[in-house]
Amino acid sequence: MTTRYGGLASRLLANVVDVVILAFLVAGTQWILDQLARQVLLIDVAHCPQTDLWWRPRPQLCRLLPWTGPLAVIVYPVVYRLGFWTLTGWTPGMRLMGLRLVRTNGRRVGLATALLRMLAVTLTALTLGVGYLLVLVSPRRQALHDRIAGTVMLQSRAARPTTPSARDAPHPAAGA
Amino acid sequence: MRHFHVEPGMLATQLADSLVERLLKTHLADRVVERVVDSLIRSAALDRVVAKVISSLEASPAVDALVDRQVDRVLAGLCASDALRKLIRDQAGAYLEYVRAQRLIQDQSRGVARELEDSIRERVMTLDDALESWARRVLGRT
Repeated sequence: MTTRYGGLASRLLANVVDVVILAFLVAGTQWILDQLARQVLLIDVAHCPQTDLWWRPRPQLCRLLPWTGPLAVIVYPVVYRLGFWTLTGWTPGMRLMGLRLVRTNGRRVGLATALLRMLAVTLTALTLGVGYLLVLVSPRRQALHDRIAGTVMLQSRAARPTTPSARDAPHPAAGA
Repeated sequence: MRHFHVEPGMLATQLADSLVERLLKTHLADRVVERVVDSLIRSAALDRVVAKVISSLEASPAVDALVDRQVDRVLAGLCASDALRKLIRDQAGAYLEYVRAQRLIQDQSRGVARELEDSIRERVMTLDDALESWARRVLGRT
């Protein structure tokens, strides 16, 4: 059986699914915090009380609450991806597409590799998509961030990605 | 002239009987009984007596044995009851049927979801290959 790598469309669709999940998570967090502020703490974000006394929690919370949404938009995707890549090798979107992230030697992705890949993804985004298009011409369908982090995206045709027990097994393409 | 010999104790009993009978027929008796019952209900002594009787019943091996015998009898009757067996069999059958139907529905939904997942994946994989070959054509690679 030949090893198949995830192509551009698969990765794109997996990303779309993940973004939808993340949007729900961010919106859910925002809604819960909003309800907590209104119903429990009785804070009206539109009319924060003016005070210079820093130890009074309500005005400070009132001023901080509008920032939780943007903060979640930045923090959630990073934690979500780092967590899934290191713990399982796939995000829910990747799982749907049968994708699994491994190092080029076939071993599982550690936290350091995941962090490097995350930073590299930012760099790829700065190339306005050119970094992603490398997937189309790369022999192992690696995007720019995959090349930087030394990772590949394996793809299986079966309904479920390869079992976790096989995660640490050396990849046939190791050293290629 | 014949003489009937009557015992003095017997005469007293007969007298008392007739007296009680007459008393019971009067309204006075109703009032007396009512008052006695009322005072009995209100008295703490009755509560104590009832509590004592109940506690002595609880501790009584004879009562235990009686209850055990009755429970055994009822249980034996229930075990031998065909109607009860049929009822249990029917209920168990209905429950198993329900569980089987639920599992079937779950399996079917899971199967449909998996088929959908597979079909999406197949299509996207085809798109991956198509995009790649298009890119190679554009770049003049084989």
